[in-house]
Amino acid sequence: MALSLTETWQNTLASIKTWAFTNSPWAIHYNSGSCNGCDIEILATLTPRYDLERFGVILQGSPRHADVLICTGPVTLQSRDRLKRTYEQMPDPKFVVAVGSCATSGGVFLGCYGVVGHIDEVIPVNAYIPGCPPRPEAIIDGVVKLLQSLQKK
Amino acid sequence: MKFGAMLGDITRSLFRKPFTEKYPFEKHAAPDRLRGQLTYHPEKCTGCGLCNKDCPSDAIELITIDKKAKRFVLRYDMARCTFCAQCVQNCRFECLGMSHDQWELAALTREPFTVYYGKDEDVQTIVERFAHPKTDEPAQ
Amino acid sequence: MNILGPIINVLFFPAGLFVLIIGLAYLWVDRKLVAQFQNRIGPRWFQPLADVVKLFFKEEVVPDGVDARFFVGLPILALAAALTTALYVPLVGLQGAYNFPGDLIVVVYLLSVVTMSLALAGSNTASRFSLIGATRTLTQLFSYEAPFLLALLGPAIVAHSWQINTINTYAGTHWILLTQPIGFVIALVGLMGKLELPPFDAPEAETEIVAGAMTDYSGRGLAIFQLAKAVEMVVGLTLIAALYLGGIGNPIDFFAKTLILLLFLAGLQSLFTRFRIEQTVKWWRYAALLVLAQWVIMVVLGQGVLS
Repeated sequence: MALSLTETWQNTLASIKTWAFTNSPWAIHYNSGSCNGCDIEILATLTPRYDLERFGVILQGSPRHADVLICTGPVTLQSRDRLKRTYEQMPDPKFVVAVGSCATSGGVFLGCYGVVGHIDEVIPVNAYIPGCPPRPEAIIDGVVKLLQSLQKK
Repeated sequence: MKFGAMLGDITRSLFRKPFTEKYPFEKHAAPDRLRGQLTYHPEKCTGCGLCNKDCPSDAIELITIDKKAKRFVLRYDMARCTFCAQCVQNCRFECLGMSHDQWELAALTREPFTVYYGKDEDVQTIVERFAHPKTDEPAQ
Repeated sequence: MNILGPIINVLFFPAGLFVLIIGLAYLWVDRKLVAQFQNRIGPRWFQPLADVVKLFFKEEVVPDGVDARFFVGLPILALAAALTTALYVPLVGLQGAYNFPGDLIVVVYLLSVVTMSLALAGSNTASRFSLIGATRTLTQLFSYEAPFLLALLGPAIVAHSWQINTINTYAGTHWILLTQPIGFVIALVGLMGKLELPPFDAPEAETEIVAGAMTDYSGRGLAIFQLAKAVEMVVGLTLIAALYLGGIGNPIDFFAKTLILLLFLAGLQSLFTRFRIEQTVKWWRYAALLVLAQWVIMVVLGQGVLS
């Protein structure tokens, strides 16, 4: 009886946790060498026309406050350590979204002398959004897919 | 005065309906000239490979199985594509195009980004060849 | 029974759980109003609750080079100070749970403790951003504290009392807003400075200094600071409504007056862009002079009329 009670408690706690995480993903944006196309589209996503605050997304300044790291651009040699450090500064649990073709695969910059590659070579990525740049709706689509995958877990 | 103008704007927007598009719940059609995922019609393709040559990001690869029988497979990596439509411009036989409704491409893994276009049996051959390399390659 | 009453007062009503829920609700109303002013839909109704619950479930990083006792203790001190003020103000139209002559000054200083612990938390961490944020928080505290206090003491002088309940009952028959408009405006704007709302959010300007004093806080500490801010907002609104807007006699009075004040706050938030820190200080110097001028007018001209 006592065991089952604790189990139900644990299940309730887990469901509350999932609810809180899927309803309040605070984001931080990191540009690891992008051409600024994707950055502009991310800003367009935050404007009143698309209004990500409907899903509880707020753009935070500090990685300590954020849950979702939105990465744009291929990883350059210069920004590799910074990207790693930004990721490590975020408290668990944390998620990474790669926005744009370059962040997903390296894109046109793959093979350049100063480019390491895509985001996945440096930090683990949870959702990919291809596009050059992706539309604001496509970015929302990616965020929603990430949140749905959290709900299923 | 500028301050007064802003005040009027604020008061008006208090009683206005929000401009926000409720995107994932209500979807609007994308504009016709949007460049989304690449489309390929293998019937007209002659295998000239101009699309392959001019792609700035190596996103497409035209794999020839049998040039005389016109068996070609187009491997398309939408994660690498920059959606510049250079291949569409180059294709003289109009077998390449950019769809305007396939733009919700986000995924949780990178596997679904690589797509093979072509006739079904050709695609099957190519996928098998990639799965078991150097088994059925023609001797040269 | 003698012990049960204070415990209920501290844990559930008016301080404790009740004021936390009201604070989160007012936070949502504030965000929703700002969203409406910007022509967007804004957050859903449970958004502040989801934020706080999520922050409690997150890992708390205690960075190197900080005093862990202060790092953990200062948010709790801030929340405790904010919750204590709720005991003295007339929440939901009821009289304050406790009152004694001079509790207005105690409430104002307890509200300053929230800001002080925020600044101390910023200067405790090794990050340079939180250090700059702490400096700015303190600078802003010193600049708005004097005019805010002077503006709140105006009604006290008129009511011949330092006790919030007495001023509240006095204000029920006299609309002090009509006789001291300058004091009302400065008290309202002073509350915005206290809460670090947009025109005065230089201490946590995220485009310049990441997140100000709270840069290194994550998880539980951040959640508790947010709760303290929410409680501070409700208490400040109640105080201004009680002192200036004709007092608070019943729940309808309370909600109507504080929500109208909140509408003004949200409008001012979306109307102005962020002031630089020296602009803030300059603004508050004029504000203090204006309140003093109002005092002189009150004392010299209107002693008979105003009282």
